[in-house]
Amino acid sequence: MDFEQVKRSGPRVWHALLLLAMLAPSLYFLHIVAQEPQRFSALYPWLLVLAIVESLLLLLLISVNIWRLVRQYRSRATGSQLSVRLILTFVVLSVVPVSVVYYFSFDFLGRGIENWFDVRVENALTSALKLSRAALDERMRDQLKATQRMATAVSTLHPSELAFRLDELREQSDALELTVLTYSGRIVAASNINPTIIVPNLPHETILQQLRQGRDYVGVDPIGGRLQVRTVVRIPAYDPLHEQWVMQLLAPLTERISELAEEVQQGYAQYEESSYLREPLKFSFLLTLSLVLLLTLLGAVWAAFYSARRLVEPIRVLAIGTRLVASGDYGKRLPLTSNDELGVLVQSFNDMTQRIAQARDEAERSQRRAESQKTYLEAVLGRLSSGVLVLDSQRVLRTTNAAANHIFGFDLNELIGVSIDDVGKRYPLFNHFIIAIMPYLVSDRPEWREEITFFGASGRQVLLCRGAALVRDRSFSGHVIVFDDVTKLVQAQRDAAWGEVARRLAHEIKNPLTPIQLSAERLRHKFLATMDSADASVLDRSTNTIVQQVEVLKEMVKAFSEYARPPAMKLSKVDINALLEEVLDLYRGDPNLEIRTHLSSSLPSIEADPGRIRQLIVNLIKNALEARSEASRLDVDIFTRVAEDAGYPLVELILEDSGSGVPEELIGRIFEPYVTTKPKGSGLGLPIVKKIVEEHGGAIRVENREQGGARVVVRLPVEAFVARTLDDDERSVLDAASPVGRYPANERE
Amino acid sequence: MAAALLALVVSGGAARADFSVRSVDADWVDNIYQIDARLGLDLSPQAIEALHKGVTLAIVIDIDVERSRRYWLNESIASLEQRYHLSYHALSDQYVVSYINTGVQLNFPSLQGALDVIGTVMDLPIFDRQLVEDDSVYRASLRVRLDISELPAPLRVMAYVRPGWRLSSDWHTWTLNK
Repeated sequence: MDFEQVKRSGPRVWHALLLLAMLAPSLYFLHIVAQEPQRFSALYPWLLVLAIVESLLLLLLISVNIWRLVRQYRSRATGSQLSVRLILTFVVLSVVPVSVVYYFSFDFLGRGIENWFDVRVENALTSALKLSRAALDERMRDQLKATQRMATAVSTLHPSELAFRLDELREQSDALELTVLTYSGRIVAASNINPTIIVPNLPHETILQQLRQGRDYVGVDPIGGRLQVRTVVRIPAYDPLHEQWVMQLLAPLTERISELAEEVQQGYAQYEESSYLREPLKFSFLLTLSLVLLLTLLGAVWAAFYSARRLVEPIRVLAIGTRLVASGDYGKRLPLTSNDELGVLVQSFNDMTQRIAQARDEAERSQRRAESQKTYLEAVLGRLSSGVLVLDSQRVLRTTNAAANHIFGFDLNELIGVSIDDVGKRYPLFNHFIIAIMPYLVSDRPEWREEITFFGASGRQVLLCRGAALVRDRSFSGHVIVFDDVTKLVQAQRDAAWGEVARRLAHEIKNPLTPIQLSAERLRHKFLATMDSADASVLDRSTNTIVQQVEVLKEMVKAFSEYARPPAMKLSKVDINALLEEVLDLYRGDPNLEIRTHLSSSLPSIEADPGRIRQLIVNLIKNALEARSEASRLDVDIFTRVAEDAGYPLVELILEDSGSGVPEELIGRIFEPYVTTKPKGSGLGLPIVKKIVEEHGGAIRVENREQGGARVVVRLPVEAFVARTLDDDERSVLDAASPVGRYPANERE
Repeated sequence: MAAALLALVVSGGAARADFSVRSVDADWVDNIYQIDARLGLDLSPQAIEALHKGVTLAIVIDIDVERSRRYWLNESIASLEQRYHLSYHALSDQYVVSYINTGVQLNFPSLQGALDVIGTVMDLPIFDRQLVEDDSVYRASLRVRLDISELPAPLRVMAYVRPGWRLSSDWHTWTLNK
């Protein structure tokens, strides 16, 4: 769910205000109408209609709310269950007390109205009315008799006398008005106490009707708030042919009696009316009460929805926020819905998620930093020519690098996390190394150096080790060991020493050789002729031997000086293939030698000294020839091909012979001077070859073929890389870098 | 209760009329338009009971005269209301009719007599001839009804609800002759 929805479904304050503004006036008017029904009675029906319309509106609102809530509840929307519980609580809290009050009000109202009326009062009023009627009846009877007497008195009168007689009679009887009229209502004569009134008060048709039927009439008329007694009697006819007349007498009751009678009448009428109206009154009161209750209840229910929504809203927002945070989304800011404690909660929640997001970002940054540092470290370690091993305090391998793998000849990366003791059990070569450094690992020396020599797969290996204890938080946490394979360096130093020895020897030996030879020849020349034959032959043999051996010595010294000769390279483009063919021509024709060439057609010319390369090829072939047993046949295969090492183009020259091969124990030292298995030769052939190769920046190795014989592989770079022999300055630098007394290694041996 | 309230709203114009206009006779007398009418006033039992219990009934005769207009609402020329109060005087057992327009009060020993007086309209002047234009059509209408709004407030609610109280004749309409 999104927060846009959150905002849209949130309750609005103006809804509540609008509803209140609608309900309050109708409730107020219902109240005052109930208080003063006469004054506002015209409003009453409209108020009822208004109240009903409002109720319907509220019902609609509530229905919409209920429908929405049910939908949310069914879809298990966040906060809907809490909403339902709150609304139910609110509704019960409002409906129950209101219902109780309604019930009692209903009861009180009904009983209260009933209490206004009392059978005794009613009986008393009825009795009072009857009493009044009885009193009036007597008065009326008297007046009827008096009127009848008057009628008899005037019955014999001529109409012309009637008017005077009437005035007289009226005054005698204290009447208001005395009238004689026909049955049809025509006035014959009239006398009124007020002479200005010309038209007398005529009896109603029904009274005349009654008289025509032969019955006299007496009754009370309520005229103008005062009671009058009206008697209408027939006037006895003195002449049957004469038209029949009636006489009407209007006489007032005495003021006292009139007032009392009117009071009784009014009291009775009012009580009767009230009594009659009590059911409608009750009904209208109850209707009002019920409407007020209905409006209040519906308002309360709506208010329950409203307040539940307002209460739940922040909680719902919080719940959604919590779910988002749980799913790892820290970016959402919850909308602030209120300023109360819940608002503070939302604010705190926002702060919290912000801090979590910051902490997470920080953690990610440091992780990235650590990773980049690790990558950087690995890159540095990988480019190091020195091998590096890091062990923890339990001597478990933690870090290593490519140079270490190369030096030991197996992949140490796979053994990270393994104790080096176990690694040693698996790799005997490594075990030599462990045994050599173990004393330093167990001692508490912070730093140490050691040169370790052992025999590995590629012969004797010399490692120069430097170690240091790792200290973290003032406690020992492991070792770092850095080591270099100085085998080749030692070898180079040994070679250089040999060269030096050879040069000095050649120099020292060469000087006396010529005098020795000259002296021997001079002895022979001077004394051979003068000596007897026996002595002469001894002299001859001895001087011959001396001269001969001096020649041999001279050869030897020459070879020495060849070996020790400082490089003076004359570089030019050399086609190895052409050079090979040229040299091999010298060896063609030997029946015991079969040389086959397998030359690459795409071989590039290399930068080299052609004389040296020629010497190299000659020496190699000579070496092969010297290695063969006497007069046996020798097959030599020569290959050239293009190779590459670390992006640099190389020319590879491979020479395979079918000789006896190299003894295993010599294979590591075959390039040292005078290491030879051959019956003849100077012992400097292969050393010189190696020297030439190294002068050209190349490499050489000798290995035995599986089918017998030796294979020599020479690799020469296409572009010249001229190696120099170490001069004195460089050697002193090397000496200074090595531990005291350790270098040069050859001095120790 | 809700159903009763609903009936109150719905039954506004659907009550049976126990009052009726029996005949109307209208003509010009000395340039004054005068009406004679005979009205049938049958009170329902509820109304009679209320009358005897001291409730005053207001009976009103409404007379309207309108000028017809073809494309517009009709124009009202004259509007007349004759209002009578009918009550019962328990002490004297008389029915009292008060003519509110003039203040005249008449007593009748019988209810029918009182109703006959109210129901007989004699020579009632409506308007002067000066108000009439020659080329227009005038329509007059008359009805008699019991005015519920003058009943006591509690009774009025019942009167709206119960059909016995909705006493009114239909409008009796005729065209004015000039």
